[in-house]
Amino acid sequence: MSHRIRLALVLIVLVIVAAGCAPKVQPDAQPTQVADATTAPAITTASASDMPEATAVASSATPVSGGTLVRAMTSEPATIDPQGAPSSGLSLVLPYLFDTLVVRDVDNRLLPALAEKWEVASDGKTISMTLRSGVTFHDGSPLTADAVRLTFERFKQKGVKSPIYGGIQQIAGIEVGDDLTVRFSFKEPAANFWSTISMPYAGILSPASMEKAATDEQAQLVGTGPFILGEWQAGQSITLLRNEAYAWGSELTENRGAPHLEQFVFKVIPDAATQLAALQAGEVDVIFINNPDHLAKLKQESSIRLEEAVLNSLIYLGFNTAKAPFDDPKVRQALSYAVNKDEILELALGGVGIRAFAPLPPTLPGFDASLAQHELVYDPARAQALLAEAGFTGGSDAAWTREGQALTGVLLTSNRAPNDAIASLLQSQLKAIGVPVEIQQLDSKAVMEATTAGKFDLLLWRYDWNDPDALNIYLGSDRVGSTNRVAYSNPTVDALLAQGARELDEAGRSGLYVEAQKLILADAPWQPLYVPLDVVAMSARVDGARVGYMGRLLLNDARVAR
Amino acid sequence: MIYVARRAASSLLVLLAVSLIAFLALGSAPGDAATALAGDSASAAQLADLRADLGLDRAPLARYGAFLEGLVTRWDLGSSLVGGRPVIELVLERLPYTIGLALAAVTLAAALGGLGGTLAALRSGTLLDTMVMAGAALGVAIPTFWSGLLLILLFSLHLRWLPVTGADGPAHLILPAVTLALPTAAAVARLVRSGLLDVLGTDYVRTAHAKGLTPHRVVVGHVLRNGLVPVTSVLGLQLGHLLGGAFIVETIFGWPGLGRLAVQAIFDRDEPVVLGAVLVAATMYLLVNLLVDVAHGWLDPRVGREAI
Repeated sequence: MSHRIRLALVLIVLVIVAAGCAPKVQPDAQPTQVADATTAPAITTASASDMPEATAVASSATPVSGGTLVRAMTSEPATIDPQGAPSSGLSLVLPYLFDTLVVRDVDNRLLPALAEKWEVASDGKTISMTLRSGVTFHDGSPLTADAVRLTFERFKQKGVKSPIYGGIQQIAGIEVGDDLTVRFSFKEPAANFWSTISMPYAGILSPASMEKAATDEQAQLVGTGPFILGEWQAGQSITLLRNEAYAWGSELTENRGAPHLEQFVFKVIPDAATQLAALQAGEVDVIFINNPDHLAKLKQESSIRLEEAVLNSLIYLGFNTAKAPFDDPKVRQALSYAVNKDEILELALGGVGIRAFAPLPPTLPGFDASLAQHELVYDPARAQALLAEAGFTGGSDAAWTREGQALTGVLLTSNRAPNDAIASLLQSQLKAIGVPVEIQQLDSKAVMEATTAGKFDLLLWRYDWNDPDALNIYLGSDRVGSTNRVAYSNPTVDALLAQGARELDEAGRSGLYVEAQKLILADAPWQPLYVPLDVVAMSARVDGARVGYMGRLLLNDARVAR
Repeated sequence: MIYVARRAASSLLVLLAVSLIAFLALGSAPGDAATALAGDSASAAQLADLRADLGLDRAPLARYGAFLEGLVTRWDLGSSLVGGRPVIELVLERLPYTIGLALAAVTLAAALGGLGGTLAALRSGTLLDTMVMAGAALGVAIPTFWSGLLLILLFSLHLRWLPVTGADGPAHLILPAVTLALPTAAAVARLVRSGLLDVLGTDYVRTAHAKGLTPHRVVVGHVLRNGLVPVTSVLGLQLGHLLGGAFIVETIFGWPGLGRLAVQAIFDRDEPVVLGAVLVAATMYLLVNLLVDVAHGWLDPRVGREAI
């Protein structure tokens, strides 16, 4: 063999070896991941599940006070304005700089934060709150009822980019009693008020900073949070410093005073594989994982602690109920019976996710385990029987036809991972009952445009929302042509949802939503697929950090080892 | 002088065309900044309010006209629709990082490629030649998102010589610059090698040998100077390209450059930022092209005389 051929062979072998050692690169569709973070943004909420997965922490280092915790962030916010555009990363940073009036814990209980106590009038149209005393903003000014009033007035005027704009607009007026009493008034009782004001976007702002920001675009808005904004290196990192004066923490953490940590740094690392490498190299202490392969890799490392957070989200298969033949409920039910959710969870998600049977995720009021009996569970035989009942002829070898029209369609979805894998599985599951579908993957904005215009048959989509009002947003008649993409319309459901929107009593409200969900499941405009989980990976030097409601990293108790 | 003036005038026309094309392209993409911002849950009323707030309810021609007017009369590129910050600020924040990375990558590419190609040409037909050419083939074929992660794995995780991400100091620049440089170095090496081989066989080189010049002087004085013309083209093209940002490498290494700014703005349908980034990239490209043409004129007087 000549010199050159031998050399070529050696090089080929080297390349193959290198490929084998290379990290499993998931071209994470990084751009679209970022993009979708802005379209289904802000409300990517989470609460710790009751089955936290903790791996052994093999660390002998002793955590002390002080120190810096570094967390990776996929992309930075455009500006740190709670009432501004929900650019990716904003909801991550806000809870440390700004406090809200109330907070929720992982069981969805409402807890006092800046508001110590509150009273709801009997007609539900007024809510008065008493603020905690002794609270100061980072600029030294005191928290007063006036600050709260000005915050929400500014929100009503300027908050048009915010995801909670709708909720804010429901507040008709804000009045100030004495220095620590605020009264919110409404035209109609607004049951989602608590969800609205517990979001980090509803952080209370210092009036002085609001005044400055009105004229100076560069002025930074100031809050009362446990951390103060330190250095912001554009595109690289945001450093937060301990607020020494902090003494009004909520019950969410044991430590109600200033955090133990001296610094909390957000490091901008857009690529998921790089985040993983940074965690392993010790350059960051906390990352969130969306990729089953990365998760599998980290599970093997004993020095990394993993915690799961259930998100206030749902991934579902939707049908265009305004377009034949999907306007026929039997057809929708038949196609729903063809879906094998366990296969999807296993193959597309590596088991990371909770199988869903209802339109609301387990974390929201209105979710009820009894709804499982209404689930259309995988049953291909039943699917085919239903199609026959609906007047279709044909079968697995020939296409189903009715009045000369073949049963087929386009499955539309965004190109955000893992939608491609899920769509492929759905396609093969539908093919198995004799219904061929074509997959169309588009940019999420293109999907939104197409669906608003009704130009689709099947839709693989996701919603993120922290209030059961989600059912009205996505399935209410008044939202057909905008956010109700499947054009579902059921007056009984609408009535229940409208009542639920005004019902301030939690138990009563839940009951209404359970009834609504029963009807929705019978009509089958959606086949709920799964509820996503976020997995948090923390290095061994971190102690006391927990994941709370909305996937928020609670850091008041956190310490880091030197 | 007239040459430069003529080039400047045609460059302005190019920039105008570029801005118009970018504007039209972005406008033809589905959705606008309102849908991108407000997302899946916004009611029709909120979207309408938002469009009014962002000025998106104006006709496209009016928006483009307003942009041009701001640019020409006030040097104002407008403000981001997402965060409200002035576009010029956003761009200037990222520009030094993009320029630094681009210069480092092109310099490395020139050095590596030039060295490799020269060695290969002078030792043509030997093992060294084969190895360099095989390396060059790999360099062109391997995608940057793979080579970048591979370099991180090797130098940051296994050897712990270099940091994984960030842009704080020269150590952070090495891996991204090397990742970007490899494909260009490979192309340059091949060009240099073939260019040199061509030239080494020509008459005037034999004459130089005959005159008694040492091989070293032959190479440097005559051969390289002539072989450099196509190389400066390639390097110039690459530099111009990189000055517009290097999205993949910026994403992998967390390098805060223009590439990520521009791509994020496209996803956000953030018109002013997209236009600003595109114009800056185009301007850089045109400047570099001008420099390359001037360099050509200097390197090869034949070219110079024709152009000017």
